Amino acid sequence: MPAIIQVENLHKTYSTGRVEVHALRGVDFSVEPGEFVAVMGPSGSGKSTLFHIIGGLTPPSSGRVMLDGLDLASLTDGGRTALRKNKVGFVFQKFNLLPSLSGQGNIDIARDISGTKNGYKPDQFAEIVRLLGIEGRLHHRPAEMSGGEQQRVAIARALVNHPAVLLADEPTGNLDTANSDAVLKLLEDLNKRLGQTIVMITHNPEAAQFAHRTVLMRDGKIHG
Amino acid sequence: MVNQMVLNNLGYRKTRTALSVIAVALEVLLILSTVGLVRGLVNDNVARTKGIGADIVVKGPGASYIATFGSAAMPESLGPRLAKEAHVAAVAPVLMVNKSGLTFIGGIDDRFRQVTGGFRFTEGRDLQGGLELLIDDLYARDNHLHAGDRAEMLNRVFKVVGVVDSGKGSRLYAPLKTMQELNGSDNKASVFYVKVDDPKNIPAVIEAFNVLLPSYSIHSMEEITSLMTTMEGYPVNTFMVVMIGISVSVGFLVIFLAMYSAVLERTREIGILKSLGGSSVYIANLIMREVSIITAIGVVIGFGASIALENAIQKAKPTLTFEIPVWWFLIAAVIALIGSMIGSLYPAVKAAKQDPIAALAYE
Ligand SMILES: Nc1ncnc2c1ncn2[C@@H]1O[C@H](COP(=O)(O)OP(=O)(O)O)[C@@H](O)[C@H]1O
Ligand SMILES: [Mg+2]
Repeated sequence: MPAIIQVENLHKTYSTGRVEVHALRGVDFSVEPGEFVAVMGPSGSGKSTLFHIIGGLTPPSSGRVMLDGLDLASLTDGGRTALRKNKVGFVFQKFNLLPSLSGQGNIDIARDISGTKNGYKPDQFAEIVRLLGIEGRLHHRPAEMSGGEQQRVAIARALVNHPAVLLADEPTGNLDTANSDAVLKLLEDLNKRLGQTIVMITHNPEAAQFAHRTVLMRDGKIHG
Repeated sequence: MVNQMVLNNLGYRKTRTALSVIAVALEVLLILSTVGLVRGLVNDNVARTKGIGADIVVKGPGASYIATFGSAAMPESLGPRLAKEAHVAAVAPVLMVNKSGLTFIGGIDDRFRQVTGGFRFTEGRDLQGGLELLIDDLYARDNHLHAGDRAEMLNRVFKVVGVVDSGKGSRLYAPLKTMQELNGSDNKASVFYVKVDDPKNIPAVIEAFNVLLPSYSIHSMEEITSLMTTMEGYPVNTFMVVMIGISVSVGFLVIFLAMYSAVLERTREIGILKSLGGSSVYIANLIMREVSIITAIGVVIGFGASIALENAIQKAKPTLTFEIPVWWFLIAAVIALIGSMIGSLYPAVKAAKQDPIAALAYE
């Protein structure tokens, strides 16, 4: 089976005003379908930047990035928008739920934006919601939920369109130990039961234990 | 779901939303009341000018031929001279004397009654001479005057001898001789109203008059009233355009500021929507929808306020004719919508172009 994520010699340079920041300096990285990979490394080493490129939030400066058969270097703005719609699901440290909508509303709007073509069937998705243990919380606004609940809604929202890859950037960074463990256990479950490919950035070695393997980033490169 | 979010966003900043709605409502009210006043003024003028019943209007050289009044005085003796021309049935000299503001007193004699077919009285009797005054029903209601009352104007005390139906040029009439004396313009007239024996002879009579009085302002009533209706050359037309321009600018600026600040404070939400695959068009559309709702509510309130103002003015001041043509409601709504759309264009583009990472990565 071909890799679902294939990154070769990826460079990313941010130019903010006169200063150039070389966030990525030749990253090589690949993920097989169905894998659960943890990415660790010090702050500022380029982990989030790598995610943003794989997830189509920003274009690469140079190098090759293949995601589920798509060559990201050749994508236009519109192409990256379509990629975010259909191929990836993001989970962020700060949950990033839309505050004006209920949990259900947050999920619905993701489905609405994507157009529901390749998403989960309602009964399949209901199963995921049950697995996440948020059935009873979905009519609440984010402000009325605990951090753990918000993050579980965010995971449901990221999965609703059946993405090829789930990208989780420090998903437990804002959670206490109990909630962290619950969320990590859920990611592990989703990976096992649905075969969902997951790449997760984390600072916590214990969290990384839930993944199949861990890669280390340092100074914009991957070390092992 | 999108509508839900738009509505929640509107509800989130109630003061801002309310102010935006009020701005649009004021915009619409300002447009409609300007149009109502101007159209009312013009239609009333047209109706009263038509109501005189003349076929041809003769004024001195250089006089504005669409205004009901003219300042250039002509010798009254021209009247009998014009009356001698073929097909002329009657010629009525009138001296318009300004009372105050836009109110004029028409100095008239029996010949005015020949041209107009006479007044319809609701109170009192016709003028006989001296310091006597006829007033129309609207002026009477406006100023609480009745036949037999005294009214001070032009530094004299007039006696109101009768109240007549409105619609014959002036709202106030006095004997021609009295006006000439008070105005220091003996044997002068500011306008001649001419009745022709048969409408088909009007062009021939005008031609004859033009030969007789070159450089005078000589026009058929039909020409004058149609010009008045189109408002071409009317200074109030320019006034109306300027007022509409100002109103739209106010709506535009308020919407621009409101949506600009909304976009700034929603950086994060916009980033989230983009991370979910929301396209630029999708984001811009959200802003536009929000503005459309604000504008729609504002327009409806503006309509209500305009109608209320129309009714209030018609009750409080019958002489201040105020008419909003129905199609202007549609025009005002379209103008407000276009103003709002233009006002929200830059904020919408700014939102659509926003870099999602800037909002999501830096916490
Ligand atoms: N949008 C951006 N504009 C400019 N510089 C950025 C941007 N995002 C990240 N950087 C810089 O790139 C480097 C890598 O950042 P990041 O990928 O966030 O690292 P990590 O997630 O490992 O902490 C840092 O020096 C950071 O300041
Ligand atoms: Mg990071």
